[in-house]
Amino acid sequence: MSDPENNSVETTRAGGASRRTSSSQTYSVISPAYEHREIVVAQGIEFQNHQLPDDEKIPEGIQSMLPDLTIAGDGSASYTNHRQRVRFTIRVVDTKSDYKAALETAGIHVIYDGHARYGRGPCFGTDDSPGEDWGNGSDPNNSGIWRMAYPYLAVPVEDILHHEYTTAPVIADGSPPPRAECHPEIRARYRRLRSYTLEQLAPARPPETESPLTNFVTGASIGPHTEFWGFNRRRKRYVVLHADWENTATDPMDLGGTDLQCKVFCHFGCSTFRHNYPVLRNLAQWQRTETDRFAYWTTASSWGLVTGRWIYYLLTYRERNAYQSWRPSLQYAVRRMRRYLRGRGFRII
Amino acid sequence: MPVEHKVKQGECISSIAYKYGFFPDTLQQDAGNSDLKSLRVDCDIMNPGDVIHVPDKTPRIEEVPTDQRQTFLRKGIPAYLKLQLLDGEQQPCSNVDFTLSFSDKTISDSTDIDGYIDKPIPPDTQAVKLTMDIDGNTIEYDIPLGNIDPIEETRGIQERLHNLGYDCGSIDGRYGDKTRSLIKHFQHQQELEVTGDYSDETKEKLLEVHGS
Repeated sequence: MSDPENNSVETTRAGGASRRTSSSQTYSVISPAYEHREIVVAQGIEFQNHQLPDDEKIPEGIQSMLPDLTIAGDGSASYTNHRQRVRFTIRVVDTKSDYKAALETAGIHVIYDGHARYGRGPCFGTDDSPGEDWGNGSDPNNSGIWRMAYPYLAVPVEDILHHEYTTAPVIADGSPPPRAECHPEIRARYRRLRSYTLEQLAPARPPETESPLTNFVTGASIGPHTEFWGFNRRRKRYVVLHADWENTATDPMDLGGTDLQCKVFCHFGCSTFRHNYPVLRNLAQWQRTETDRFAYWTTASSWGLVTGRWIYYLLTYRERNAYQSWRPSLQYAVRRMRRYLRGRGFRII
Repeated sequence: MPVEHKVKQGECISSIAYKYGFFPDTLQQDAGNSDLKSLRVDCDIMNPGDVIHVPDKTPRIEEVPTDQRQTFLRKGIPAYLKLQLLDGEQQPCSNVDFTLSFSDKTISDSTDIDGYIDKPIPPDTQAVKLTMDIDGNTIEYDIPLGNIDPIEETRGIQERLHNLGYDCGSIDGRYGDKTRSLIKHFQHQQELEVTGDYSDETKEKLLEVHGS
């Protein structure tokens, strides 16, 4: 639409006009084109609007900072920035299939806001009570984890027991999983990997007669003597799981089964830069270009106000940005977020 | 023989009348077009597929002396390009110099205080290029003529939204998510109930704001 070299000539194809008769009193209006940008916020399990304090709800929390933001009856929001010449639409989704559909929509900005599940990927569910939604999902198309992990990662045994989801730990019947395919947390403890029975991972407590993990470990021929890879860290026992990003247990609800067409991919769970950045950029080869395939992450434990603030800064960027690279406005949001988060122990990167 | 002319994209009453050698008013007032006239309130805006009845020409006999040179002038009625230019905040672009190019002609002038342009053009002009300078930036609009669809049609909605600066991307005639979200923006800007639905109230407001 505009000339990126000098930004002084702008050519727009109008929707059209009519040839009028001399007596006609009607006119066609012609007005400069504004770019339309869509932001989709995917709220993960335990991070849905009905579970959040008012200032963290999307889009209501943004409206409290930006009163001109309009919220429609269906919960979507719109905002026009005349300086940018951009009209923004914000909508919220909370299922795995809607998240996948958003990621497969060309040219939009998709933000996941929720648990990182120790790096396994965005996790969805309307009910945060214990169950499969913390794992592969009670309804695999709509709840549970959309996987984007290293092939192998470790979780504390207590996470499985606390959330009561079934999972597939890696059986220790030979060498440990290939080091290069492991999450950095395993790699850092690779020499300390040991094999454990379920009883050793989670001892039975009277009056129980078998490990409480028994109910949550899937796989044929699992028995009391079957051993799994694990390690100890900070007085917690971790077990190594099959996780992965393609051809996973949740395929096609995973990174490999999703044709990523979005322009911006934000993963605002905890420590996602460490967990998932290399998976997206190196394993899946979703490489950034000058004007496309942007991705943003958190460096440590995230918190609920991040997404609202991030969107607020994007909406209030004050330079002309329509029909140009989104990069300057995204860089502005990153700078402002870093200032906002100073002292909170993590950054957007 | 009368002709039933099926309207194609890019045609309007002026271009069709010109093609068959009639004045637009003649076709509009023809009894064979009474149904179409009631269907299309704005006769300058037709939908592709609309059928216009083109009557036979009525011969006119002029008696003139022989052995003298006679001059007959064919009356031509131009079509008019009638636009209102607004800025991004929907305020008129008042007294702005512009250049209008079409075929091999160029017209230079200024908008009036309300941002209006009203210029004659040949009825078969397919498109015009409007160039103007605002705040040091040159803005060019490529404006196809005669392809605005009726406001009841989804393409008509998209074309009007596009003219108003709501970028629909491709004008595809589908009331999809993008059109719906732009309607929400429009409803918000016009202080209507924001639903994304193309209600009668929204249609009326779109007609009012777009001007046609």
